[in-house]
Amino acid sequence: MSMIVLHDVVKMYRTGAIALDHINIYIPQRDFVFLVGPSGAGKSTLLRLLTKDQEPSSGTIYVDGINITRLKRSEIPSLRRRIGVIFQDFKLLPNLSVAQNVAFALKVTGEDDKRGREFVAQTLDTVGLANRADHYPFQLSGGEQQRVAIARCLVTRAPIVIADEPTGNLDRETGWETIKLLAKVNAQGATVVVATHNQELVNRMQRHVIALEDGRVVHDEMVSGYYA
Amino acid sequence: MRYIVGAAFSALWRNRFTSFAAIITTAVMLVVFTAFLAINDTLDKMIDTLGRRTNLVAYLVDDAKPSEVNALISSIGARPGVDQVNFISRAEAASSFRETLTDLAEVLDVIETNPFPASIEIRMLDPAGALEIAEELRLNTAVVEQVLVRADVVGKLLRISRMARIGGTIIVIALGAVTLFVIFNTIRLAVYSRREEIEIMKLIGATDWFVRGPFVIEGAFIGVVGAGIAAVVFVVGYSNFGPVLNSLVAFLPIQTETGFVANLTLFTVLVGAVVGSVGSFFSVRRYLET
Repeated sequence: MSMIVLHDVVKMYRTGAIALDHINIYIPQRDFVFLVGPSGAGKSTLLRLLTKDQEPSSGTIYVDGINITRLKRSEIPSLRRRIGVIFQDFKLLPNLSVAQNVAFALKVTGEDDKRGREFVAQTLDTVGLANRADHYPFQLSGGEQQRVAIARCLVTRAPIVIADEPTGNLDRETGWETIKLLAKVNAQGATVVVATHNQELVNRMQRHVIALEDGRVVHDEMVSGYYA
Repeated sequence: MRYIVGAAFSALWRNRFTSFAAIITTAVMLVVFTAFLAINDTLDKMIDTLGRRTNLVAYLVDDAKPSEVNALISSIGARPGVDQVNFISRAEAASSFRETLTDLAEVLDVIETNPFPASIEIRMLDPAGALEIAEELRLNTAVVEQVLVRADVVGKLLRISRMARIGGTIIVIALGAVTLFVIFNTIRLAVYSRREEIEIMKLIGATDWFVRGPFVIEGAFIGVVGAGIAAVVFVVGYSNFGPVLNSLVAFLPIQTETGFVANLTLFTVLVGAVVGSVGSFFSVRRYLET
């Protein structure tokens, strides 16, 4: 079954610049995809369309069987609850502790009960931050902060996880650890989409690779993909 | 709901410096605004009193016959352009003096006889006809001793006060707009400093109300507390300063009864609450819609 489908998607900015040029992409359920390409190729734009942070100029996008281009504004929160998002700059709430940051995602969905709290502890254990639960983001290293962000996706059991340059701010080793953690998330059942221009990581993983250039798909390798 | 209220207060505390600044700004703006409302109200009352002033006063001879006086009153009262004719007895004149000029009341105690003559006060609908009536009264020497025409003065004063009233209203509206603008922007700044928080909440899939609720409650709280401080400053200031001013300038009709102060206080707090919460509502909306 397909998890994410983009059909003839165009994204043109008001300035006339074309960010995505007639894109067709097919991502099956439980897939692990690398979205690669140089800066400005349209990777981030594509991810933003998936969370309806931006609207396509034309074309249709299906996420988890739903045509999200037709979603009403009031239906966007429920779409976003099914998509965990990870950023280069982590986007943690600085005033909340690690555990509170993770629990915050449950608060949003109204699952912040006793079971929820147990699940937070369990999730922090999964990402190896059990002993950091009461720390604040500024007390953590970049790699640790990224793991908090991943835990925040895991805790809601989001079926889709998208990551925009998750290793961009991390050193080589920590970046690799992060990707391995995302692979673990994928192994637990989530469809994972990672936008990156880190050639080494992509080639080491050998997964589904979609290469973008100037807003076009120039290369789509479903298995054992390479970023040349 | 419990989350929203809890989040609102923990955010207020976390951003206590911004919250404090917003509260103080709100308070200062509302103090200025209420003070001006009070001044405007005093001015209004003054104008009312002026408007009620008589245009003509005929002082009567001491031995005027009551029947003749009554005849004069009804004949003048029947004339076109005359609004009201009042007879003021000598005793009434004396007690009115005692009431309005309290500091000088002792003078009356020194003088053993009542020095005030009885009088007829005439209020005109149109001060223009006053001179004609004054002339007629002067001729009636059996009853009238002296005639005082204040038509010109009163007319001028009324014109001036009418302008003052319009000016006052314009200033109240302008000041009100400035007050709203400043409070609104203070809250917008507070929201702006937390736009990232809003962005993250949205990305996680928070509904608009989940994001907005705490901000609206925070805004209302800032508004109410700011207005509360303004109200306290106003009440204390008014109750201390009002009587002092009243004793200095006896004719200023400064409202000293608590009803006025209570109404204005309630109004201020209400303005604070509404501006605070509505301000937050719209400030957050900007970030929700991106």
